[in-house]
Amino acid sequence: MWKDIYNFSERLLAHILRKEAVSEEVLGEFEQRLALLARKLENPETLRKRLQQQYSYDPVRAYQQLRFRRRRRQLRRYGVAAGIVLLLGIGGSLWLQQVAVDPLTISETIQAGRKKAILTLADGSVWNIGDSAMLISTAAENIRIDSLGLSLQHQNTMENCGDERFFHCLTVPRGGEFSMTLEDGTRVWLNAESEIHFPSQFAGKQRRVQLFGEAYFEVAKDSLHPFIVELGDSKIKVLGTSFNVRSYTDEQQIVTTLVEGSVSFENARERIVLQPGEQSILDGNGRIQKREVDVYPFVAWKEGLFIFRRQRLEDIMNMVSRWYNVDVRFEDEDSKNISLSGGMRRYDGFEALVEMIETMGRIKYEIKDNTIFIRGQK
Amino acid sequence: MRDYTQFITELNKKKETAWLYLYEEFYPALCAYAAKLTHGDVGVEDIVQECMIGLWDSSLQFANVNALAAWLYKAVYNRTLNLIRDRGNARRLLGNYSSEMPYTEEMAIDLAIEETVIAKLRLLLMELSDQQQQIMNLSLDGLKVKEIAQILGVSENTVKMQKKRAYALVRERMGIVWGVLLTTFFSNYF
Repeated sequence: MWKDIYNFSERLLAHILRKEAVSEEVLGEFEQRLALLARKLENPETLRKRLQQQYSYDPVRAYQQLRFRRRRRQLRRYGVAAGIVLLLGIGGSLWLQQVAVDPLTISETIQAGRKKAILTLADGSVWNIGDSAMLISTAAENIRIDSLGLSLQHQNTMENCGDERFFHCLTVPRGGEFSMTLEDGTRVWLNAESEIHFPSQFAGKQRRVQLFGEAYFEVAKDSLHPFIVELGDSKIKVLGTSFNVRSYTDEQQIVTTLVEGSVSFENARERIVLQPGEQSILDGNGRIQKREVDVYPFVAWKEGLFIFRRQRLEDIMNMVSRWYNVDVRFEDEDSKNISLSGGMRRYDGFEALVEMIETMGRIKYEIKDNTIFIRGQK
Repeated sequence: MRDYTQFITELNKKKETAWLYLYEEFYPALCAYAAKLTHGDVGVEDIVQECMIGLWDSSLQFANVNALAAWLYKAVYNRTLNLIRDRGNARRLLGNYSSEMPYTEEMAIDLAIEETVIAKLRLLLMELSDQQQQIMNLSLDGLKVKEIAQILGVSENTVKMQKKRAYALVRERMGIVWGVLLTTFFSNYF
């Protein structure tokens, strides 16, 4: 029985260590089993191999992964305020511990982001995906990972597929990006530190997905089934179009930029329709504004470029820090508001980028471990 | 042996120290267990980690360490079965009809008992000093006192001394009842 495992193992260990002599004639079924298992483990060669196998798994690292995951989830759930509290509380000490355990990570040079993501399937299984091709097979579908990103292939129609419980989740960490094709043919590019929840198969009148962070959508045309992107309390409703949406919790605003077609952006209070070349901004107070923009800088990330047009240095560094997975500290308030225009390839090194910013923005920087300190030039 | 009452109480309350201990005692054992069941090493840490996450997210309360061990090994067993089934599906899709034969439940339980025993020995060895551990591990590799002394760059006397101390510590830890009879077991290595 399963519940006897622990009890039995203690008796077995005692048996092995004692080498107790058991008289043959009184051997019950229980003792026979004990003796059999003991004989197997008493062999020094077996014992050595099995001990070494257990040594090969690192419980402390695994425990820290669990803690890190919990911190990330809490951050997402409670938003920025909770994030600050956590950082002041256990967050700080956790970070220190991780550095202490793994000194290698801090001496690594800062690298550009790359294709990587964590896929959590509706059944709860978790997959680390990246550059290499994979085929994940579940009861309902095959999930393919290849050079075009993630795509879904169906085996049979499921009845409950529009149900919350059958939503998969693709999480892109800081320093990552990933693209995917939904079941209806819609293409999605996810930027660093973003997450999308999508169903195995769309059902009902609407095609619904949930987004955290930034993504570019090329929605497959289907006028009978509107495509809805849910962003917390707000949502974007589209028929068939291409647009970019940026809704990082820490920026406290949702920026939707339309490239072609038409979309409507709505929250509980307002609804606004966008034409190509227009952008809507929902600010922290729940107000929606609309303006005309040059769309390219807002979607350039998807083409592997950083493009800034008269943007505040703080906003630029915010974006950059997600891609290179670095922390940014400003040593004075004035530097945050320096306005910059420029562009570069996303896959170039971090040093090249900050050198460009240093020259153009008249700032000084210093990189310590994984943090960049910025201050104005005197 | 260790008193598990307090550990279980704190584990139920999701206290950090109890959870770190949970990982130290059970995580390597569960991984080794999953590796045996799947005949491989691929993804076993994910299987175990998912079970741990499931436990963390649940409001399960355990009455004692037996219930805890039962839950953990059974959870890993079920997840492993699912994985083997899914792999079988993928194989069929690729035109290969062979599928791994899962262990019977009874065999799986025996395996769980074995891994628990190994884990207990591992924890016991962990209480030794670094040098004692090194010496123990080299002894387990089948090396003689003279060879160990050469590898570690210490005298043969030091090796012998450290072995004696390690033995004394294990004896103290296991309690007087077992201590008397430990010699036979450890004589293989001392």
